[in-house]
Amino acid sequence: MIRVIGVGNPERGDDGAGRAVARRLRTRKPCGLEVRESDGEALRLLTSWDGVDHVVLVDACRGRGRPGSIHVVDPGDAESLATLQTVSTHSFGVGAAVGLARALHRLPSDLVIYAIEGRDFRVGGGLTPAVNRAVDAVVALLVHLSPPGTASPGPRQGET
Amino acid sequence: MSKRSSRSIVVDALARVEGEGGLTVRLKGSRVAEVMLRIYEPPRLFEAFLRGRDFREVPDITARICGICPVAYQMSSVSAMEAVCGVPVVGQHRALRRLLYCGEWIESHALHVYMLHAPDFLGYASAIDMAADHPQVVQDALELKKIGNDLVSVLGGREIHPINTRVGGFYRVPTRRELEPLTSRLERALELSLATVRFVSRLEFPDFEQGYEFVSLHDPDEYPLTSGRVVSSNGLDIPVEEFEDHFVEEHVPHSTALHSVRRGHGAYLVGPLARYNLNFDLLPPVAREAATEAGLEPVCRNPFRSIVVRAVELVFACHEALRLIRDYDPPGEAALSVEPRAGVGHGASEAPRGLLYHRYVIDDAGLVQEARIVPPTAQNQKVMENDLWHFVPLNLELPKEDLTWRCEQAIRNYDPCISCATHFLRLELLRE
Repeated sequence: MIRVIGVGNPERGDDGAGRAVARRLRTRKPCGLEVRESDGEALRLLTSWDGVDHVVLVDACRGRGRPGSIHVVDPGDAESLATLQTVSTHSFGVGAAVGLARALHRLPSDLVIYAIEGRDFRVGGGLTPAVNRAVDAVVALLVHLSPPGTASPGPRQGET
Repeated sequence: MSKRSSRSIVVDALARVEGEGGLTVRLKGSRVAEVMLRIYEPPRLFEAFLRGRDFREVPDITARICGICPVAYQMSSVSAMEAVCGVPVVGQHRALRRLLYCGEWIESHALHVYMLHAPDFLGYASAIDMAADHPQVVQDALELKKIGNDLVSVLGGREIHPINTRVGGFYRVPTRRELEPLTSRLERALELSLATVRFVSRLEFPDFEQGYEFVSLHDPDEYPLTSGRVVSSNGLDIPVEEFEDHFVEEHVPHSTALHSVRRGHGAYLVGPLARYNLNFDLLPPVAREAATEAGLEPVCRNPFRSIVVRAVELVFACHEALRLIRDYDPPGEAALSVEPRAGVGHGASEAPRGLLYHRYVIDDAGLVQEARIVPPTAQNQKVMENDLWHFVPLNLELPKEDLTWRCEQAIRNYDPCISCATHFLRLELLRE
């Protein structure tokens, strides 16, 4: 079983990319995937993967490439984690969740983070067209994820 | 040091506070020339867009003001609406509201004590850095916070922005059986809270006391949560309806949150220190004993020790939640029937960060004509600035980096929720 966690705020334009992936993925009823959504608050996120070994986290990012580009973020790379978008007035985001989980030895043994570069994070806006297409692309990718141990998850590190 | 010319402490965006703000301290020699807690988070205009809404919608709308203390906004708003409509909520409905509030206090205080404030005292930039050296401390914090979240979920329907509070009571009240599993977890939370008091009592505190006017709610029989009269350490004792006769909000250019003052008296302090100082005798023995063992007197004027007071309030909240569950007798109806009535309603409750006042004018159809919300962080802005006016001159020998750190810590003493007040924190220390 792989737990997919879509992170973001659907009320903040492209910040909702991760949540949109979760919602569209759920309608496809993918075999072997358990889909969840998260607002990205670190302490809740940290408990959302407790007891699970294989986790895919999808979030929006800013400053990594052109809007709609899809990136694999190394959970061990603090600089990359910092590009994940946290549109929140509260200061703990995905980067903090990963950092805290590592310090507490509560990181899943297999954590893959996909980040979709956003363009517009304004309140009330929907996804911009390029991000909308990227969401579909990530959904298509995740639907074909095989149960752990039988296939590698997704694209090579870097921009796809 | 006094021969040095001028300098400034500038923190553009304060970390480990809720919301977005900054701090500037401008020094001329050894004299503080200017202190500005700059709140630049845009105004959120809740008071404006509440106009025209049905009075029953207000608790769920105002809950959205804050992800940390949504229950507080629900409690103050339902109290105000129930006051207008002449339907006081008492008995088990009121007890359940206190229980829900205990959940919010536990999660909010656990978050602030361990994740936001303790790193200041232990010399870590963040809770993540602290977690590497003190993993058990952080694990305990997460466990405590989770118990608070779960209590809010059981009573509120979900842990963030709960949806079960309504004017007149609740949409659904829990059965005894639904609350029972919380007992063993709250007993664990009580143990963790007592350990928290012992942990924070061993921290080092700057020697700094101020002659604050403390303001909180006060109820003769209970440590304040959902109701009470507004009292102060300078003798004020008024019903909530008279709040605006004594407290006024002022606009200052460097803040999008209004500053509050007590009319004719100036700055005042709300929050855990005020509640503790004005209601010490109402704490349960277990909390009073923990406070005494931690070296707290019944009155504490050192804002840096607020972390200990918060921990004592954690003990109270867990103990109170256990008591409320033990005594719970499910009410027959989830809510009392409430019909709108034209008038003005005032409500106040004790948010984790302090007194939260609401006033609404509604018409006979129940539509909101006017709304006024005075959150705790807005009320504490002046006192936060005053602390720095007095604290910085006493610490000018510190290297700039250390002084900046201390100034940020002084602001975090108040656990400011800037999102609420405007509805983050960066510091600038400028020496000219």
